[in-house]
Amino acid sequence: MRLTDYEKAMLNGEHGEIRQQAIQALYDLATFYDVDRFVEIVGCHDDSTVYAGEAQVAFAEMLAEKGAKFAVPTTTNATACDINLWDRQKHDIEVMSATRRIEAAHVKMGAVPSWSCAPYHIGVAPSFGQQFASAESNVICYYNSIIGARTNRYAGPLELLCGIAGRVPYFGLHVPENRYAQGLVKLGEDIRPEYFTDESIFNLISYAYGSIVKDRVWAIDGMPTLGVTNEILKQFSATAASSGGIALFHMIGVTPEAQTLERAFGGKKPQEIVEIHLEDLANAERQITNPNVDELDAVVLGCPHASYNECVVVRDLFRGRRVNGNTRFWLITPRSVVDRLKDSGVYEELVCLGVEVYSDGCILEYRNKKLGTNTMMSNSGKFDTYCFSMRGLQPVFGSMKDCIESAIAGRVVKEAKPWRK
Amino acid sequence: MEKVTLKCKVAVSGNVRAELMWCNEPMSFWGTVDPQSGDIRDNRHPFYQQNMKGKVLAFPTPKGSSGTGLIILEQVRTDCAPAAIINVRSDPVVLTGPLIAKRFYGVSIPVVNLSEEDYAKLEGAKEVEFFEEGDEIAVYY
Repeated sequence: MRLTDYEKAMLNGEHGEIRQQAIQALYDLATFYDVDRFVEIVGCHDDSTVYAGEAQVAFAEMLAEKGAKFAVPTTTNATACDINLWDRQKHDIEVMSATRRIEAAHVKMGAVPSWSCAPYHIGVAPSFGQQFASAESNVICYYNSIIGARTNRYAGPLELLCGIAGRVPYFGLHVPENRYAQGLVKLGEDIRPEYFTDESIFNLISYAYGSIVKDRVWAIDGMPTLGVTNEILKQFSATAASSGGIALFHMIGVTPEAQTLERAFGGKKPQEIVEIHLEDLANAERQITNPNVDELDAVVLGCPHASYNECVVVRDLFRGRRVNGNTRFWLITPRSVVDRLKDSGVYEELVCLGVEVYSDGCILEYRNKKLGTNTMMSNSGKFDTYCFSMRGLQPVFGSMKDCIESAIAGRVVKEAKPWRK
Repeated sequence: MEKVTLKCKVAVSGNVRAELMWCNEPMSFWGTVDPQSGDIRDNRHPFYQQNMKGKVLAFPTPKGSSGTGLIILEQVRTDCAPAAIINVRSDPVVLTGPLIAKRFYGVSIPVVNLSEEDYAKLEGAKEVEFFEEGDEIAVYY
């Protein structure tokens, strides 16, 4: 490998034992992939934060104890529970205790305590073209696709080593030539532009896209280019990263590396073109929704964590009506957004409507058995994809508007849609 | 035992000889392996109800969640990790656990890649031996 003097010094242990071990492990990875150099990163998103076993906690504590420090700004992903309101969420004391140990160890290493799977909503994100190391599938997909920053799919706790070493092997999506689209998904003519006024169509297209494209880099053409918000693109990223293993997608005319079809493909022709139709959207919806639910025990929004704007939209959609007495409504948002909600009075309004606002935790760690909730609804393709394998429960999928109307009625209320024939 | 030597690409090196568990299906550790015992709990997988502790685990490619790294590390902690891993194509997710085990805990779980042709030859073998140096494994039938 071609190494800088600084990297050689790290490998020789001149920057301490932990930096040496971190760069050795990354060196092993680089050697295996025949990579000839490292590239410096501007930041890291640390996903070793949702409690998954003692080894995870012990590893972080060992690093922190031995004086490990992140060399670059490193944000923390969601934890298993709301760090302060864990008991209200019916988490047990072991989960809370492990979460507090994780919190302490990662903060000791110098992490920015964002505790969110949507760090891009709170102003800590890389810029276009910057090299980055991210774990957490939706963040990886968002940073690569929506921002145009460059990260591979790093898995916990490998990203900790990237953050500590401040560099990664220069391979995969760090390399511009590997970021061009290979294939193209096109929208069929039966998917009419006016259907996009309902944002849930983005989730269904994304689910279909991920199922077709799997872990490859492709593009999608025919999407609207106006009125596509960061929140819509967030849902698209999270769902595509769940139904497939998408780390980077190009939305022609929308995402920064795909302002034109030619640019997305680096001047080459697509190797394969797949057209999707309303029938594919209906199939996607069948994969992520339970058609047999009527009465609803809970509605959960915030997968990935809700932005300030989304929280305000939730309030507005209630139009003063309240959550049904037999239904719970959870809204998960980064803790700094909770602060803003409190400052602006929106928090109080949400509470008065019957909405429970939480932060930090991953909604997929929802304790449905202890909470006695058997039927759930969400607006998230990611939540609905993983909920069955993680919680043994198949939720109902709907738009944010559907979710709020359903929460008020206490039963599933969905607008008629062209793909729901 | 009949011995055959196969060329391999080494991801993580180490010296070990152990019994082989071979299959031709992709595998995820997350959601599949009980990290307290090493039992395989996924009833759709050919390794279902087998235990991987101290065995050489061969599966062609990893799949699924990036949580696999944490599961392998937990298995190292609870002493039920596989002795070594053989793939046709490893990804960073499956390498995370063995790389960290080696560099931070001094525990070697060698990981090597074989060509598809050589991978198929492993079927029916009893034991596999790995070496710290070189790019070969020894297969015993």
